[in-house]
Amino acid sequence: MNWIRLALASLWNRRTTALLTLGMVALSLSLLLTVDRVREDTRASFSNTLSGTDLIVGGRTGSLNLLLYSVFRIGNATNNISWESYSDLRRNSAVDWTVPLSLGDSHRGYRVIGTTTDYFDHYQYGRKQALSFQSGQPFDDVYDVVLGAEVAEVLDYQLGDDLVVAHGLGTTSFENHDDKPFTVVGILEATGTPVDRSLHVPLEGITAMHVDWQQGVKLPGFEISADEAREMDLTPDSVTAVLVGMKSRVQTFSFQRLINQYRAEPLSAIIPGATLQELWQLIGIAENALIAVSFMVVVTGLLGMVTVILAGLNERRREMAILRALGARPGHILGLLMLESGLYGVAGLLAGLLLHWGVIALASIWVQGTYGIQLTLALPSPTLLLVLAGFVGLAFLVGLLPGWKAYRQSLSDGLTATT
Amino acid sequence: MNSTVWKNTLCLAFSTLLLASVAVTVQAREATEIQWDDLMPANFSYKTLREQIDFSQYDLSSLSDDDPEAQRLYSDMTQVLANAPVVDALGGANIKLAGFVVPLEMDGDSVYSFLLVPYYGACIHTPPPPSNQIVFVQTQGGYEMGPMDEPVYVSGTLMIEAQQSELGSSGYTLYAGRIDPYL
Repeated sequence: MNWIRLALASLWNRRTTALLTLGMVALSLSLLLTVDRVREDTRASFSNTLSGTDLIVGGRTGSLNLLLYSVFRIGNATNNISWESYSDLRRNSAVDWTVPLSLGDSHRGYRVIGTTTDYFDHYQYGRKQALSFQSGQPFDDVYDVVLGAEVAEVLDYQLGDDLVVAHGLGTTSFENHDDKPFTVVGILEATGTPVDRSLHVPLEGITAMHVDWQQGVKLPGFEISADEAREMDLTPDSVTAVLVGMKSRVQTFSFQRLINQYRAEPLSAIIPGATLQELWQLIGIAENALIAVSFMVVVTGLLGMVTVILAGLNERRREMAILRALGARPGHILGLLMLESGLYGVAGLLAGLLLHWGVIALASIWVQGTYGIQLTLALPSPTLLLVLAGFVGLAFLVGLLPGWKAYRQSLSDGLTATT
Repeated sequence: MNSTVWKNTLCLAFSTLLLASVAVTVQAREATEIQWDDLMPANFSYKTLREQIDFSQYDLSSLSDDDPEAQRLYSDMTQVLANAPVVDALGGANIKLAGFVVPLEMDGDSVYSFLLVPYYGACIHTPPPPSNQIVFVQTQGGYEMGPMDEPVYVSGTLMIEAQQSELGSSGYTLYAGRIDPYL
């Protein structure tokens, strides 16, 4: 007798219940898979954002805060670094290169970063990958702008287009710098990092935009035109953060100490890798809680499945009796029920995987746009694959419970069921 | 020669080869465990430090903590410590050293390069160790690191590499073969 065909036929007979049970198992598994995938991809996205930078310097603030606003464009700076301090820092003999960043403006929800051409030379992401241009070149003139890949694609900009930068970081602003439009001169290749969602202008461009602003507002009657501004000295007063590359890595700590104890101005310096590790340790507790909850849900799904099979046994006594009449031994009945339970496990796993991939595929676009985290369609990690294999094994094993009950029933019922 | 003699000879040759290869691998894997003190040359002391700074330009008796002169002196001393001398004899040695990990290059949970330091918190608030008490480690493929406050044993080849700093000083780089938890 082909047992699998028998088991399937039996299930088909009770297809509504069977499908619902399958759905329950699949949902619980897809929750576990999705939680694990989001955790892995978040870590990968964050670590891939910056590479090859030894220190990040900013105004005195928390280390996590500095990392988040300078590199990930999440959160806001508490204070800036004066140009004098930056110049002093740059002149230190231990420093190889610096990339100053000036934050605070935006364009239709995307952050505008004031920087120098050193950004395109020294900024690296992933595993020491440098930035490259899809088209155009780095900025040269005060009012040039280089777009990240996503900005150019979503807002449909080409080289030569003009755009207006807004003050502040929201999606809209009621204060625009519309008297000083910028021209697109370059578009970067996609990197999968927050660089794609940024616009890059020279530091002088940021200064020019704010040259006729006083105390955070553009005063009427005080306007200075774009061309007039170009003639002025546009050296910035301050920058928001600086990426630093050291000549020698073992000097990183002493230089960091120097900045943290800098007398002229309160500054903070962080080592990106170490700070990121602190972030993971912090949210590790929440991650572990989520994983634990997902495991509980999977266990609940398994228990639910066993309950459904057990509950349905009474109605299937006639079916068992018929099978006995056809020559099945009580041991076969036990095996049949274990197979059925195992089939739920296997089919549930496959359905769960498909459901998980579907959810990831749908959510990834939104998550990428809102949080900058790239969710990938991939097989679960090796540890999780082992756990899933264990789950399938367990699904077969828990079939022993209803199997044993049916075995005893078939012994006592004999060849005629009394239902 | 008859077949038994052949078999015996072959057996002997094979087992000798096996023993020899085991001996070689055991020797290759056996790294000398060193302590952090071994990374400092014998003559590296406060006295030699003092000799490297020109104290004549400072009037030590009248300096207070807030004085910018004191700041300059402090930064001079930090500069000297940041370019501390290394033990040249250790160059190329196969060593094993325990320390704490400060990650530099990471990819998800994998660390590709890190700084090995003698105590936890070297990156936070206590004065940093001198440059001959910091080892720059390059891992072979990613290393899945645990919490930062858990020390590890790093085994590998220690190299002394000239730094690109103006003072032409050198620092320790360790090409790690294996990293184990320190229990």
